[in-house]
Amino acid sequence: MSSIAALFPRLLRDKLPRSIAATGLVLLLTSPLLRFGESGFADGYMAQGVPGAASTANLVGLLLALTAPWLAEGVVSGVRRSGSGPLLLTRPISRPGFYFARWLAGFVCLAGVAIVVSAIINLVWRANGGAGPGLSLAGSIGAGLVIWLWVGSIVLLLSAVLERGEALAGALLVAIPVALTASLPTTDPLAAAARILPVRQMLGAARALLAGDVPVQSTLVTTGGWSLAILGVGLFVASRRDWQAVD
Amino acid sequence: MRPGAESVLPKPTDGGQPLDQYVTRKRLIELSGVSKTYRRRNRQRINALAGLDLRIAAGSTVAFVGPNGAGKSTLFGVLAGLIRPDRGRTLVHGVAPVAYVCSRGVGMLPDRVRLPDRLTVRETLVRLAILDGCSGDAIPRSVDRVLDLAGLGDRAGDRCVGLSHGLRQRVGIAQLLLRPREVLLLDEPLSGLDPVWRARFRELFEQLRRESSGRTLLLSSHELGETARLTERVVVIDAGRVIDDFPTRGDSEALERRVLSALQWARDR
Repeated sequence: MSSIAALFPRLLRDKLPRSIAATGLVLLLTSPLLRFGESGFADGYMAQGVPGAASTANLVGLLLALTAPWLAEGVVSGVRRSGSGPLLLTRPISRPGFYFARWLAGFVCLAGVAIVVSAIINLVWRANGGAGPGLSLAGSIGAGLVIWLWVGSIVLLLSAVLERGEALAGALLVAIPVALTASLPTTDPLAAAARILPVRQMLGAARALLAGDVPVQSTLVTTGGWSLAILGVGLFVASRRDWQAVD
Repeated sequence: MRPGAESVLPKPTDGGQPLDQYVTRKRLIELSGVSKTYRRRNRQRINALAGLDLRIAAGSTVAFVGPNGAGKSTLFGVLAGLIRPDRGRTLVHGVAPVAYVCSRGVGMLPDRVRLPDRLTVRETLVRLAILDGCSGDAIPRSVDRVLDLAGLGDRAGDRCVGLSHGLRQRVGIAQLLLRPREVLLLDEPLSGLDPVWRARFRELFEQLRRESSGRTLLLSSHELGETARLTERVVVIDAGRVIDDFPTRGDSEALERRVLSALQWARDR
């Protein structure tokens, strides 16, 4: 395990270009939407006493959810794509540990993206005379954590079971309902159908948890628990799959 | 093993020790009834291994020969814990291959060495050295040593994406030498190497064999001359089964005759 830990800084460095690209993408897509940030959402979710906070959190969460598959997709299939599996996986290392380290590096980078995006949105918001959207540093990390736990776990499982092209398709399958859940009014039947993905609830739970609102923690714990279970299955499947290079 | 092989082919004991030496010495690798079937997208089934039985003693140098698609690479994948057989039992040092690899590692040179395109040769080797458990100053020392052994010192800064097949093969050989391993699996090690590096590979192979009497070197090759020179035992595989198994005597012509005879016998069946 120590050799995998020693490799971790390099795994982070691998994810950095994608993280930077993801940050740019998030900012690009968020900037026009932020003008309407204070309108909130039709289901009435709104952080108490912070107008606009809920919608900003949801926007950032939505866009993180869109970038998470991009970062998570390469955890398993990236090794297959590079074809370096026979060299890497014949080393004296734990295979689930190796894949977990790659997954964790993605989370650290995604949390970094969340923090950077949050800081820039706050700066822009305040520069325009606003009071700030209220998505704190801790809130950003929390959002990154819950999004990554859920989306990253599912994508890792898909990536372990399927091959490259299918993993990307699977990632989109996750991302699109997540986007629907986070962006459409809940009166929309599509959004209602997509609510099985509890991204917004998780975001709310993360924020409430950080604010010390104990009752909402159960949502986070439940969804987090499911996410960890999916992650465990994904790591198990990934470590037991026959090696097969993808051209 | 084909029945009555001795009556058709030169005796396995011809000019050397009996084959039983391999089963009376401490057994290192044991496969019994190992089968593996691949399913293509069109649902066609390919039996890569079909009830393969084999025992290989510690310290042996064994060559696997056979036609394309005989199951040699799948066998190496099974021994490296990269492929799980559908049936049968495989033991390496008394444990399942995955458990053995995760605890001690094996040296693996795949038939087609593929490397991360965006990394340099040095960075690739540094990462593999880290996974091998090297740390601190030992990493650059190990990497510089194997770069030198594989003649890649002047290509260390090149990205892997631009490397020729032969250079990739040499990177593959370099990574084998990062840490000493008890089991080395070399799948077509001479593929893509120029004559100079073929000779150099022979030297390295002999060096690896001399370094440790307990080291097991398994290689697959279509080049029977090299096989006769490098190994002490030849296992002929066809259609996922062992069809002949005999000691080599360094005579490449005799080896070729026997291998061809065994393959012909398998085809005629």
